[in-house]
Amino acid sequence: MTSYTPAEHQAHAHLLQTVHANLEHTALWTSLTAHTTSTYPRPLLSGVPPAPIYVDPDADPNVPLPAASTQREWVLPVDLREKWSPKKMAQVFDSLPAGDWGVDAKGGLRKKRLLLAVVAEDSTVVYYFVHDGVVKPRQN
Amino acid sequence: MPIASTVTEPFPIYAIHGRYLLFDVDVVSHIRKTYHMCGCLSGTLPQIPQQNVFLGLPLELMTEEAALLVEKQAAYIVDDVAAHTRGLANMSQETKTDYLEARRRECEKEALKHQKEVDEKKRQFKGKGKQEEEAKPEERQEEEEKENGEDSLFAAPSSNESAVQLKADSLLFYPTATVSDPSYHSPAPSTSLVARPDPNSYPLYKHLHNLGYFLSPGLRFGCQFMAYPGDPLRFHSHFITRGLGWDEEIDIIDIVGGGRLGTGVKKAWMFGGKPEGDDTETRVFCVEWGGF
Repeated sequence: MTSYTPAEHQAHAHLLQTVHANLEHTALWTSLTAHTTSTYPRPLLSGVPPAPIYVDPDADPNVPLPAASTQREWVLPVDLREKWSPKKMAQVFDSLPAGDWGVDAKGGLRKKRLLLAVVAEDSTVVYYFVHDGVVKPRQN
Repeated sequence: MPIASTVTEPFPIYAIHGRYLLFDVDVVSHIRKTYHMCGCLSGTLPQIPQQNVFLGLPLELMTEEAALLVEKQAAYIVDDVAAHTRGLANMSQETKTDYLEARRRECEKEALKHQKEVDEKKRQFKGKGKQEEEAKPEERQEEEEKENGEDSLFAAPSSNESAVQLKADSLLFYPTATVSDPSYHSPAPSTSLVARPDPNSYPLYKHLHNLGYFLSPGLRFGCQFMAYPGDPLRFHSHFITRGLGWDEEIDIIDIVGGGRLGTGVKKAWMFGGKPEGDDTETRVFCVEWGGF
């Protein structure tokens, strides 16, 4: 596995802190963990939202949603002024554990996903889902 | 009911002023059916060019579409202006006379046929008149006289004349074909033009096309391509896409803007590129608003 220098991680420590605080106190996430080992190109967070935040577009509405605790979400804190490229995004996705990302409503293996947490100068944070591959939009 | 395709591949794509055009409606339906490419209808009425709601032939292809068709050896690109000039210049005098002679004969035949039909109609009409005349002789007679006078104004050469030969000034019908004669687009496929799509976005186009998506130009939605999961007449598009080079940088604010744009129109915004190396797969990433 590719190894990344800790300098990258230190440069983004403040982003991690802002997003961590925002998730913990505003969005009420639990089990928040920071991932800052050298296997990740950037510091990442993972945690469990109070209710599932990603609902499969093809899921049967009559079937109750899975328990929130089973949906662990990955979060990638970035600064609004940064520049990214497909290569950098691919590196982040490749560093995520391959394991179990669940199955979608049609029985196919689910693609990796993360939440892009964009931090603006005034500490506003906005969240966007990024999927690794072609994933049908939730509302269509 | 599906109609058997009569298109032979490779078919010509006409390049005029850097635009890739198709003039044959059979080819248009063929590429839609076989290669799920829709292009854009771009022809309007020459007299009323401001009528741009319902457009017709020719169909304009995106550079990516033209390039992919050539790559699949389904088509070749013809520089239309050069090929036409060359075709005309290389035509021998004999071919020219033969062609003109054949065309004249064809026209004459058409005109005679038309004349015959007109005569037949006239005959029938007169016959009908006579029958009615028998019923009300005194009223009809006057009218018929008038009618005959009017008729002679419009009547082309009188019937006995036209049956034998055509008058010099008689009306000839010249049909205008929508497809030009093969002699005007005959360069071998190897010497044809090459479409050069943007190397940064072409891999994304190809990747989605391979997955069976219909792609159309995305200007109306503020992106490069729109991706439909099936024929655009049946489906809403799922993705609005932006192709990038593998190392090409994009501002985070553009990702946020794209994500917001996609979510606003109930689609996902997609960006991606192709890693270096020939056998690697294009990677794409779908962005949607997180919802909180």
